[in-house]
Amino acid sequence: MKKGDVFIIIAVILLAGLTAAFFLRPSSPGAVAVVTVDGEVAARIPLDGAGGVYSFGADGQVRIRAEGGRARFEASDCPDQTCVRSGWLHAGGHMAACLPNRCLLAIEGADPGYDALLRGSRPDGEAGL
Amino acid sequence: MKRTAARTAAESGVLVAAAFALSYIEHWIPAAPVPGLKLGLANIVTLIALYRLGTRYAALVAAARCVLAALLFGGLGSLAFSLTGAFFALAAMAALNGRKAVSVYGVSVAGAAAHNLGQTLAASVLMQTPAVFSYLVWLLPLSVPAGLLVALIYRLTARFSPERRGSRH
Repeated sequence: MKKGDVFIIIAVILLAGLTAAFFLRPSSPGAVAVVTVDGEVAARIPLDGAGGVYSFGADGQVRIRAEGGRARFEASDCPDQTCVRSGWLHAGGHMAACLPNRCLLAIEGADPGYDALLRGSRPDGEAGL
Repeated sequence: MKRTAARTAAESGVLVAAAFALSYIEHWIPAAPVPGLKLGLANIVTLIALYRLGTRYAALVAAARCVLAALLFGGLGSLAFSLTGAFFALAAMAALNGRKAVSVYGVSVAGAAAHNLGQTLAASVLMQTPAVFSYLVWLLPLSVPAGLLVALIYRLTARFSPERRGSRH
C-alpha cells in the first residue's frame, strides 16, 4: 500500500458519503400508514398507490391524506389542531396523534433496506421528499 | 522473454479464457445483499492484461469476456451493463497505471469503484431515472474491500508470471 492507494480509498468513501447525502431520504416502498382509533386499528393504508383522503371517527371528523410514501392529518375538528400541524409523516416509525379524537397515525416501513432509497429519490415524487 | 505478435495473441487468448472462467465462477456465488454487488473476480484478469499487455489489449480482453459471458448467461441487456462497467473500470485503472504513488491496490480499488459508477450510469440511462444512483451508497464503500481482494489475488498470481514482473507492483 502506498500513499496514493490510501488517497484513492478515501476518495471512494467520500464519494459514497456524497451519494448517501443525496439519496438517503426517509421513505419506504411497502410503507403503510396505520390509523388507530380508540385503541383499535381502523385502517392500514398502503402508501405505494395513487394516494387519497380517508375519513375516520364517528362523523368522519378526522381526515387523513396518504400519498407517495407519506401521510398526514389533513383536517380535524379538534380545537388544538396539533395533529394537522404535525405535517407529513415519513417511514421510520414516525407518528402523529389527535388526542381529542383518540386517533393515532403511524407510518410502518415494510422494508427499510436499500429499496427505500429508490423510492425516496423518485423524480416523480414531490420535491423535498 | 521476447514479445512477439504471436505471443501477445496467445496471452490474450489465455486471459480471455481465464476471465470467462472467473465470470462463470462468480455467476455461481449466491446473490449478494445488495443487488448488482459482485466481487469483480474477472477484474483480476483485466489487471493482469493491463500490466502485461497494455491498455489496448486489456480493453479487447475485457470486451471479449463481456460478450462471451453475455452469450452464456446474460443476454443483450446485461451486455450493455457489463461492457459499460468493464470500460469504466479499465479507463480508471489505465489512468492510474504507472503512477509512482499508486500501487496495484489503489489501481484495483479505483477500477472497482469506476465499474460500479459505470454500471449505475448505464442503469440510469436504461431505466430513465437517476434513482438508481442510490445504489452507489452501498456499492461504492463495498468496492474498497472488493478491490483490495482483487489486488491481493493479482499479487499472488503475479508471482507465477514468467518475467516475475509482479514484484514491480
